[in-house]
Formats: sequence, structure tokens, C-alpha cells
Amino acid sequence: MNISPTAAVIFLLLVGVTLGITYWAGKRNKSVSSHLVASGHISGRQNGVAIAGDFISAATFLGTTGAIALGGFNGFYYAVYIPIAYVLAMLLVAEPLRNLGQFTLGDVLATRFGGLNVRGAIATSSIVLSLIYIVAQFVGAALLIKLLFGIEYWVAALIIGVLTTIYTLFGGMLATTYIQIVKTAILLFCGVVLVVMVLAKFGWNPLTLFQKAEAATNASNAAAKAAGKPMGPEALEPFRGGALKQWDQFSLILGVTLGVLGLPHVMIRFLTVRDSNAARTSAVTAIWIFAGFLIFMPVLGYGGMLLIEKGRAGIPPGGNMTVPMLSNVLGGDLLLSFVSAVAFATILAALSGLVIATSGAVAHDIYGKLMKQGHVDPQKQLFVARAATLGAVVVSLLIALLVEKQNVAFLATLAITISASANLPALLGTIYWRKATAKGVFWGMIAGLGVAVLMILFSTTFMGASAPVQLTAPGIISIPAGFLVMWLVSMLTQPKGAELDAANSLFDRIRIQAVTGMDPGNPDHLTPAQRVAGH
Amino acid sequence: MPPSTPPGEFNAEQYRALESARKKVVTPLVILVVVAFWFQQIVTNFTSWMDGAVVSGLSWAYLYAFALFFLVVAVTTYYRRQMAAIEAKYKPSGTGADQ
Repeated sequence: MNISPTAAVIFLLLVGVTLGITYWAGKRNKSVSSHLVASGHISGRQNGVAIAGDFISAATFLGTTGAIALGGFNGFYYAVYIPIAYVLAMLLVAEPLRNLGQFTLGDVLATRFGGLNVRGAIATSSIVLSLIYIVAQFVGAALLIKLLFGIEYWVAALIIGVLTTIYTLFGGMLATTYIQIVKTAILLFCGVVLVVMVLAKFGWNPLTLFQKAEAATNASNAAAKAAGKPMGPEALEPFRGGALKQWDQFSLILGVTLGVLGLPHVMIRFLTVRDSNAARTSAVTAIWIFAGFLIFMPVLGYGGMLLIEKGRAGIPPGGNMTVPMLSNVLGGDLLLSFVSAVAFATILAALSGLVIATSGAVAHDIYGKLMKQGHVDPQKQLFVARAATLGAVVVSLLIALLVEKQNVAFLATLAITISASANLPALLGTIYWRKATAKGVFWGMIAGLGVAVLMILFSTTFMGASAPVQLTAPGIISIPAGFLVMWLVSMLTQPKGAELDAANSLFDRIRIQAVTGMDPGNPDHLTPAQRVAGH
Repeated sequence: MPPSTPPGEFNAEQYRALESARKKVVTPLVILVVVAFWFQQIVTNFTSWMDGAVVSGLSWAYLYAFALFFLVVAVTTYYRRQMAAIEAKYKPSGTGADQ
């Protein structure tokens, strides 16, 4: 496809709106707090919409629809896990995170484990996984923009990189938030338009659409069987391709579901609101948007499968082009242009959130706490945050340009699995487990990170069919490894005597702060609204 | 080991009642969501129990998956209401605080 005048106008309009938001936010982005967490001034509802914008990436919107078109029911797994993961995040992590954290996940761990090792480990893990995630997004996004607009890969990557840099460098978290909100609004509008147009073709009855999808796959499978060719997945029933594929699928879903609870760019969104009540509202709003949007993915997937010329055979491998091709069939150049603009906005919004999370870990955890031990000039820290923002984009862009021809699909899986294997045990151990020790949390993170990376390196992704690790998704091993090592090392390093009393007392304080937002050991810093009870 | 008394000017008893009330809401919901979701993953991935059709055009696997979407909406609604009630009950006295 090549860029049309309509697409160019919509594209420029969108870029103009996002730059306008950045200009407005830039005038307010004057401190580290505003740069990293919008000074906690985002409302719960706004934050919920932004969370949806942050997490529904191009891979979710375009990839999941394509996966359903090409893979049938199994593609729907990639939609179902998202609201479930966010419900678990709401119940277990969101409110304690808001009550314990300031700018980063490292703050949460540091409330209990003051040493530099634990903060350094989670900061490193957060930076590594965010950079991996950014590279994965960059490559996928540039390839998609190349396809949608017919421009060179490096031009696409450069445009995305420059715009992401402008948004995050000048507008910080405030601009990122509002760009994510705008993206969610146009994404939902786009989704509604497409669903209505697809259902209109099938008598407004989703079951008719599903019946025709089933009939189409049955017919193509019958033809394949007659010709002695391998049959494709059926439309409505789960596809099981043997024990290894089943375990790999299970491992992947385990990793991505639990990974959400430890992803820095997702979790720091809960630090942009004023209290735990707003954090809860954020989570509920995001979950409702996820549920309302993602439940219609099969309509778009099967719509694409049935309406695109030649059906499944007409959809390029990977399936990412299903929605653009479907929109072209349904609404011609205008709808295709709009969908392409939505995909572009989706990419920018997701990337901006990732870049802010990375710069927070660098400027606050590494520079402010580890290098300067908390004694830091706010203006210098803001400068470091902005430098880290620029650095994150430049490094990721360079890597993305180098790996254009490589298959980097495993990167996103690796990043989210590191989150589930390293960050999640550390977060849950810190917030909920009395016997967790600094050494246990530290070594749990190292084990989770190490096992996830090693398993990917020794998997078929890198070593071909004879690789010692046959799973491509390491979560089923690396996540238990992270938790197990944290438990084992914690049990071996239990404090005794006065140290035990101090550790218990500190844990009680952490629990109170996690539940109420107030630190009973430091009452001067509390607002009356956060006090549970006074004497 | 029993939890030690929280330090500072805290009314520990009231805090424990608050945490206990929250736990009574959160724990069953976590168990419900985890069991419902992983049961779906296991039965669809490793068994053929969900392969048949409920009605023409709708398999049991899809019905279960769609039900999970309604489950999360129900869970979030229930959780918000319960937490609002708990926070109203344990609102700090004499602060005039709004929650």
C-alpha cells in the first residue's frame, strides 16, 4: 500500500493534535515529579483510559485480530488474558503500589529493603525489560508503518523515534497521558465503526458470522485434506498441535498474564493518581475498556477472514494486516487511512509510556538513589531524566535499525516474562510476605531474570530445532524459579533476635502504609485524609 | 509468629479490623479469578471438553471465554462497592476526611 492524500491529511492532523498536547504539557512539565508521574494530578478515570491506551499496543489491536483470523479460537487467548491480568493487578498490586511508591517500582521495594542492592536490581531489571520492549515495539511499529504507508523501514523508524522523543522529552508523563487518552478514544471509535460495519454484513447477528467462519474453515480444511495438505485451525474450537505446542502456549499465557503485574510502564501509571481510591478507579476503568473492546476481537478477526479477498490465504503471514485490509474492504481509502492513523497513534502512545518508565528508573533509582544516595538537585535530576528519555529512544532506535531483517518477535515475550519472573516475585514478596528478606528478594530477581534470558538463548529461537530448550516461552520455568529462589534464600537468611523484631516491626509499618497510604513511623508526612485512626 | 504492634500513634486494633475486612473481600476474588481463568486455559489447551458446540456458531470454548469477560466486570463492580463500604466504615474519626 502507498500513502494516499486522505491518509496524509489524517496522519498530519493526528500528529498536529499530539504535538499540540505536547506543547500544552511542556509548559507545565517543570519538575521531576511532573516529568515522571504527572505530579500525581491525573484523575482515576483519566488514568484508567490512559492505561488502556498504554497497554493496547499495535500487537494487541492488529496482532490479536490477525491471530483470530488465521488461528481461530487460539488467537482469542491473546485478548482474554488482558482483563484477567488487570483484575489481578487491581486486587494485588495497584493500591499498595500507589500507597508505597513515588516514581518507580524501586521505591516500593526500598520502603522495606533500604539497601542499594534491591533497588539496583529492580532498576536494572526495569531498564533491561523496558529497553527490550521498546526495541520490540520499534521494530514491529516500523515494519507496520512501512507496510501501511509504503515508506522505507528506516524512515518509518526515524519518524516514530523523533515523535516519541518530542512527546516524552518536552511533555513528560502529562503529554504521554493525554496522548494515550486520545489514542484510546480514537481506537474505541475505530473499533465500534469496524464492528458495526462487519455485523451489518451478517444480518447484525454475531452467531451468523461465527457460523460462516466455521463453514469457511471446514470447507478449506476439507479441500486441504483431499489434496493431502496440512489442515489449518478450525474457527471456533481450540487448536492443539501436540504436547510441546500446548505447553508452549500455556507457558506464554502464564508469562504474559503475570508479567502485566510487574511491567514498569504499566505499574507507574498507578503513581500518577493522588491516592489508592483513584488507583482503584483507574484499574476498574481500564478493565472495563479492555473487556468492552477485546470481546469484539473475534468479530473483526472472522470479519477479516470472510470479507478479505481469498480469505485466510489473502492475509499476509503474521496477520497484522487483517484490520487494515478489512477496513479497506469495508470503507475504502477513507477507513483504511483512519485505521492506519489509529495504528500509528497506538504505536506512539505505547512507546511514550515505555520511554517514561525507563527514564524514571535511570533518573530516580540509578542516578538519584544509587549514585547520589538521595541527595540530588531537582533540576539536575530533571536534566538526567530528560537525557535518559533521549538515550532510551536513541539506543532503541539504533538497535531497531540494526535488526530490521531479524525475527524479533521473541523480544516482547522475553520482556514480559522477565517482568513476571523477576519483578513480580519481588513486588509480591515485599508487599505481602513477612519472611521475605532483602537477599531473598535480590536473588529471586536475579534467578527470574537469569533463567528467562538463558532459556530464550538456549531455545529453538536461537539454536534451531535441536536446541536443548524446546519451549519458546520460558515463563512456566522462569516464574516458579524466581519465586522459589526468593523463598529459599529468604528462609536461609532469616534475621534473629533484635533484627527479627526490627524486621517484623518494619513489615507491620509497610502493611499499614500499603493499605492506608500512611507511614505510622513518620506521622508528620501524613494527610488527615489518609489516617486510619487517631487516638 | 503473631504480628508485632505497629509503632507510632496508631490504633492498631482498628487497622487490623480494616485489613481483615479487606482480606475477606480480596482473597476470595483472587481465588475466583485465578481458578476461573486457569481452568479455562487448562481445559481448552489440554483437553477436548470444550470442543463441542453450545448452539450453531458458538462453541463451549468461546462461551467460556466470553463468560470470563462478564466475570471481570462483575468482580470489579463488586470489589469497588465492597471497598467503598469498608472505607466508609473505617473512615478516620475527627478528620473530616473524604475518601
